[in-house]
Amino acid sequence: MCLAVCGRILSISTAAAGDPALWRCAEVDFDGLRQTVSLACLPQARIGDQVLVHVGLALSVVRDDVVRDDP
Amino acid sequence: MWGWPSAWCAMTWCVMTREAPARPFMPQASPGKAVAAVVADLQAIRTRRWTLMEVCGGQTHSIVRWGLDQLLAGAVELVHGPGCPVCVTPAHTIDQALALAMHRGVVLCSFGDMLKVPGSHRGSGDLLQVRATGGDVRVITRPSQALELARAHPERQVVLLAVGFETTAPAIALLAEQVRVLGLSNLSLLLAQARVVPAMAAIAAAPERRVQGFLAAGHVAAVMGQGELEQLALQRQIPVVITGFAPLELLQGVLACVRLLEAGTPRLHNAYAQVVRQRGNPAAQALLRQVFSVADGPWRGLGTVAAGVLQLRPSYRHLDARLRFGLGAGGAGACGEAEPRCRADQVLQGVLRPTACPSFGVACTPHHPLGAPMVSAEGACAAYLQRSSRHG
Amino acid sequence: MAEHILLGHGGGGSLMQELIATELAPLYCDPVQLGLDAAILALPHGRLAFSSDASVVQPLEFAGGDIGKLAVIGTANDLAMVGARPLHLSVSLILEEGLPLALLRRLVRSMAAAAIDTGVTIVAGDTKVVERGKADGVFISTSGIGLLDSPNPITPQAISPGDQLLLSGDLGRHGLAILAARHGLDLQPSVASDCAPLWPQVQALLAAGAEPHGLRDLTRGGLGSVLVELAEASGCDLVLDEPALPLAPGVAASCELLGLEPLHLANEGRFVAVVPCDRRAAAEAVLAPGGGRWVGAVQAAASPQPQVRLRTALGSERLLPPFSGDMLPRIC
Repeated sequence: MCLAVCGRILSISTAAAGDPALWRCAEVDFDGLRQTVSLACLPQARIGDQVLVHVGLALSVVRDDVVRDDP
Repeated sequence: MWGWPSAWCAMTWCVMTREAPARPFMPQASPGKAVAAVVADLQAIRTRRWTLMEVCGGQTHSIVRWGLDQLLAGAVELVHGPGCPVCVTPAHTIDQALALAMHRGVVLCSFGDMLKVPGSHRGSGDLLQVRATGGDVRVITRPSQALELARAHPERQVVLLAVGFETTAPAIALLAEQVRVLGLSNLSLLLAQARVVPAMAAIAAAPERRVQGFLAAGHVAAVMGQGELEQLALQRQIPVVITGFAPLELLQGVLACVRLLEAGTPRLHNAYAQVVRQRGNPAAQALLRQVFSVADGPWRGLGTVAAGVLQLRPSYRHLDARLRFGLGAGGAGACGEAEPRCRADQVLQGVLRPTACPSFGVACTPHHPLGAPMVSAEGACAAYLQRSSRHG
Repeated sequence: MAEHILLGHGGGGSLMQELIATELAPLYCDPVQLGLDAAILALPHGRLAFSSDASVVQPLEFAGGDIGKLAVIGTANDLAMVGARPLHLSVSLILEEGLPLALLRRLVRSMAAAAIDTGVTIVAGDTKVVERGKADGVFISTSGIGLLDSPNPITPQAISPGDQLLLSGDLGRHGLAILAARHGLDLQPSVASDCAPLWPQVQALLAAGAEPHGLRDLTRGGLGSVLVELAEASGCDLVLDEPALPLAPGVAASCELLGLEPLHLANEGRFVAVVPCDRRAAAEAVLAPGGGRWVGAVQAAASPQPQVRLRTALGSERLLPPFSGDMLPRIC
């Protein structure tokens, strides 16, 4: 576990009715394959963010700027 | 009382090496060179051979797919732990899924990984075979597809075989909350959600433990954060390194773990910081707390794992397929096997190499598996079959 | 005429005659054939190759092709793989009651065009209609005859250690196009099936003196399944250079997202050639313009059971994962 892939958020939308957080979605581009992904667990995600997605749910914003440190 | 990681304060912070320039985690060019450099670093600092366990089927898959254990031969032994939720889903749950799939009026949705897992009785078949004989079994790649199915077919009862660790749990919790809010009465969950860290703790506590360090599943940590893993490292005095999945990320995790072992500092280190934050994903954790509670529960091959499974809270219990269809919980005996030749329990705990099992590759193959670790693409036994025979 | 196929269209009466005359005639270049129970052919001297196929693909139409094009080209390609120039085909249709005639017309046009592209004539056929629900729209069965052009037999037994493996083009387009159509995948840019006749490339290989020891087209089960069969038939290990494998755009990302093995994706316009070591350059020159390239070599079996091994970009090796025939996506 667990097959998760990184993709870039192209656009964000919310359902017309109901709790916006529960239904907030993004169109995400995975190197040419586009899918609708739930942002219910990433309220801070923005267009252009690179996100880690598992079974259609974005779990984390990927940060390219993190400097690796050694123990 | 068990605690979600957010209840723990951070005990260590990673120290930035100021003199080192920013290094990309996954250089696009020359992966071979980058990987060779990490292996060279590892060979330079180690004074002995170390035994590390990864507890993540995705990492098992990546290690075999990239032959990383070949690159580490002699330096580090990588043991595959019970990190494959397919392998540890109780046999009884598979039996229940098979029974439900044969129900008229039920649409059984499952991730592809589960379709060929045998039940507890020899000859009970698997979900693919049930589909062949008329059961309505649908392969899905995301829980939202089960929701779409339920909304499109109000006359059918949709059941999702919800298998996974904490990486998958938030998506299942989201589905449960969406179903509750929509007031749908035709979707239920056959839950087999397990928690990784308690299983790691059980293995670390075993008297015959040979594992000296853990590679922790990076995507589970992305959800749950570092707190529980920090506690594990300190309580069991064993280094734990949060590790990614790409070959370079995996080797960087191995190197970090060996550094901790050589220094004699059994603590947590995050080698996947581009994805994993100290506190994980708070929104996901809140959703999990809302929908699930933690309980002791059976893992196939391991027996009962304390705090090892998730169960639905009372306000979501109406979504429990076992209750809706009167299936029964199974109990501690639910993890038992009817196949006496299967040594999955020893394999999953890392005490038996699959190649040492007399049935390996002979009576037990992916086409005719005796147990779950041979079925899943990333079960330890199936993984060993993909090792080139020249490398053993 | 009705706008949908009726059971009577398969009944042998006037409805069927009308269907053949109006809708199926474009398949046959010689209208006389329509009136005979069997085709009478004058065949050139030499050895003949004969092959048979059934097409049951869903959906019936997809980016880059349809079931009709697949059926005609598929059998022609099977003939090409033994070194035979495809000559004549028979086409048997099993139509489901209710199939829209407009769809049938498109498929017939497609088959006729594929026949011209492939250089074959369709000389015989049959039409049956089954009840609604019994045929998934259309099933097509084709058989074909070809004339052997290769002086030496192209059989797996000719494969020996030292031979080289080449692909005729990139991998996965057809499999990905079908997946996209079936599951509504949004691919940007979209991917079309690679369904295409292979005889021109095979003919060029033979003319260039490549002397192939093995030719196999990569249909269901992809390159992976073909190599397993070749390894078992030849008794040799096949070793692939993984970085050299040309995956079509979109294939790598889609397979990663869905948890599929790219080497098991279907192709309908690609083949693998096994040529002697000293013919590698000649074969590469023939295949390169179509995107083909060298991908590996044949070695003596390292163990009692011949294997397909992949050498990764990191210098390590792995075995090809087993494939039982089900392409199941995984989430783990």
